[in-house]
Amino acid sequence: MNQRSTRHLIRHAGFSLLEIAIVMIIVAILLTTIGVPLSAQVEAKRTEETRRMLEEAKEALLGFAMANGRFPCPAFANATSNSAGRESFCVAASGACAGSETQVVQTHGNCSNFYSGFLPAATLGLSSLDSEGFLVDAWNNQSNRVRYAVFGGTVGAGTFPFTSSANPTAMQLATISVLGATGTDYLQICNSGTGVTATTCGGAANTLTTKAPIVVYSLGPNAAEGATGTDESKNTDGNIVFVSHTPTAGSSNEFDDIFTWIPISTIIKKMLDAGKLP
Amino acid sequence: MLLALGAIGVLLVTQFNIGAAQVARNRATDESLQKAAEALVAYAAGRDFSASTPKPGSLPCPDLNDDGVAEGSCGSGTGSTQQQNRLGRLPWKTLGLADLRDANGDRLWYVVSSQFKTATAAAILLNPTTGLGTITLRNSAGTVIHDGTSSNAYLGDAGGAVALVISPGAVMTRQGSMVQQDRTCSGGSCSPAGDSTGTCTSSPASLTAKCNPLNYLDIALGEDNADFVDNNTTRTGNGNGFIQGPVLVSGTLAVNDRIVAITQDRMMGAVQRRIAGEALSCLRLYAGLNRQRYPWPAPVCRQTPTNANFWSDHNSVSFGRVPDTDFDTTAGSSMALTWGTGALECNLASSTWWNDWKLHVFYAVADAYKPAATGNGGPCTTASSCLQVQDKEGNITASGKQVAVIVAGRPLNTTTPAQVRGGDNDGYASNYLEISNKSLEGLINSAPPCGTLTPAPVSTACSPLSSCNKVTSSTRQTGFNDVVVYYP
Repeated sequence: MNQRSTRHLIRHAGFSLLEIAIVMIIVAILLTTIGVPLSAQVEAKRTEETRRMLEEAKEALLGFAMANGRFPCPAFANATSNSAGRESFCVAASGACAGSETQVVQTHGNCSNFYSGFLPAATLGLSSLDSEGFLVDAWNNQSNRVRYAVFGGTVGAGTFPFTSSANPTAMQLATISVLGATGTDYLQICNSGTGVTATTCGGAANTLTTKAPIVVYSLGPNAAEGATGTDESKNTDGNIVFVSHTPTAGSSNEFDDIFTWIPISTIIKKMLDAGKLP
Repeated sequence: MLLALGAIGVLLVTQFNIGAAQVARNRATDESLQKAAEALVAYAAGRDFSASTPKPGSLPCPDLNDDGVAEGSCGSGTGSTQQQNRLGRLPWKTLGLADLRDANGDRLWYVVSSQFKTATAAAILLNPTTGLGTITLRNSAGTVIHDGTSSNAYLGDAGGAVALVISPGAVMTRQGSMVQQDRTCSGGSCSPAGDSTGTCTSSPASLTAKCNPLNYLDIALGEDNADFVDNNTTRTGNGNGFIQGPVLVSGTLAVNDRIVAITQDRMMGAVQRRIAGEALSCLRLYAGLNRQRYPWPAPVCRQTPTNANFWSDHNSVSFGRVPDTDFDTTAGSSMALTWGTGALECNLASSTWWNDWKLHVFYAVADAYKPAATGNGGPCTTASSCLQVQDKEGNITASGKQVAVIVAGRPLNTTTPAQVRGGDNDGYASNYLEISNKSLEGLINSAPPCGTLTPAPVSTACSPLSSCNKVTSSTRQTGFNDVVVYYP
């Protein structure tokens, strides 16, 4: 009798299958309603991490400019060769030079890849680079190397005003008055790739800014797939027109590039502070 | 039992998440506000002033129709008209920024002082002594922290703000209103039609709900953030300004606007740096064309109402203000009469902005690089032959400088005696410069012709020269606001 009642008590001290099932269901409901899917959280974390990387890259670029009176040329890389994360110039003082790039700093400032290059992470002395000296964003594929473009036109009396290391520098020759003038345009950053040309955004409504000589960007999660739509294709086609907007999904015109730039006013201010302007 | 525990757990976790999320949102908003303020200061300091306006230090007008571009004008010179046009959105496209938003997803709002707006009338001097902010800002307890009613330059950061950047926060019901704020196209129209992300096409833009500050900015303790006064000549009404959120009125959130102010010291510090660079650029240009020798300055003590040649250079004086061309006594040493032209930029013509700043800009020439009829300037051989740079404590940090430009900040009352400007006061460097910079006046070979100043100006050279050829270069702090640049 005694033994039977003890056994009876022990049986009641645990959870019944029903109770456990209810708890499991509640936990499942909680996870699906207030929680965000794990994969989405990972993606959000990577996006945030990449944004932080781009901000640090911009800081490094401004630091380089304050020390040297110019910005570095973009690094170059294609399927067969690359500049090992260092800035890449043309020997000739004008024109393109695909196939005969040099990593020797050229005073004239003619970069080999003004609009189709990468962040020269090795030149900037950044850490955590890939085996070839490039900075890779949080998605960590070779196709996710951080990209960088610098305005390579002429401003006032300054040729290649942001990359020339002549004395006085081309930025000084360009003068603050012209650099900061309302009519002086740099890279064209557009809200959409529709209606753009190789030189403009195709109208003020589509223009985010024309006051950015420097852009630093990541091709985002889908980098490995190549440019998937009209908008993304503008960021890899090697001209002065770029597209930046919030991410959009969709099979035809997906956009997930993470795009940042440095406005000319910030550059002028930093160069003033460093005594590199006027 | 188990269910109750679970429920408590869930409650705790969600409460914690709400708190943490709010902190993260505030941080994101504050980051956007700081970015905007930094961009505004950079824009003002780097202004293109090849034309008569704008001046260095002048800020863009706000964007009223939400197209991201600053409007071309925003009221009269005194700030007596079109108050509503100086309160709008941050002109992010004009500043070259990304589409900056607060944590709630709204674009930032922006208020610019009538004293600092673009195309400010020539009559308004935009320099550290007279270029004072006009916008009043209260903290969330209602205490004034930036006083736009005062024209006392000693106040510095406590004086009126130069500009404000505001995050409007989430939609709420304004005190005294029956309805929630409406941020749609209602009441007017948007382009594209009905698209609340488009631009407002009504005239004025504020007829459209999404471009009306009442639908973004809040009111509490009698201070309405959607309305203000900032006259720069009659300042009595300027107490009508702004109040920082969060403000709770009887336990209810009445103001959720977060505000960052750009102060006079912050703005002028950046602009002083620009002006110093401009002056140094001219001096280097001149030296490059004139055997590496710099022109004689205009003696400081000449700036008295009884003197006729305020701005003439004078031989034997190695420290003073930047003289007007022609440099008559410098030319006596077989040197040029004017700055000249060359690759380096020189903008010191008699333009509006330069007239604003002239009294604040000083320079010192090293003994080895002063005008002489023959030979090149330099080299530095002794401590006396070139300028030395020291920190605020008097430690020498650099030497061998040919020339130094010093741009004075606002007058300070933390120096002894307090700095006073205007009239005969302008004839003493000590009313503009601090620490060793005011002693540079001893860099003379013979007494400058200064008329009758009481007390008499410095008339004897300091001996040895190395005792007063020290330029103090330091960060802005209590009792010191000079900005110094030198070459090399």
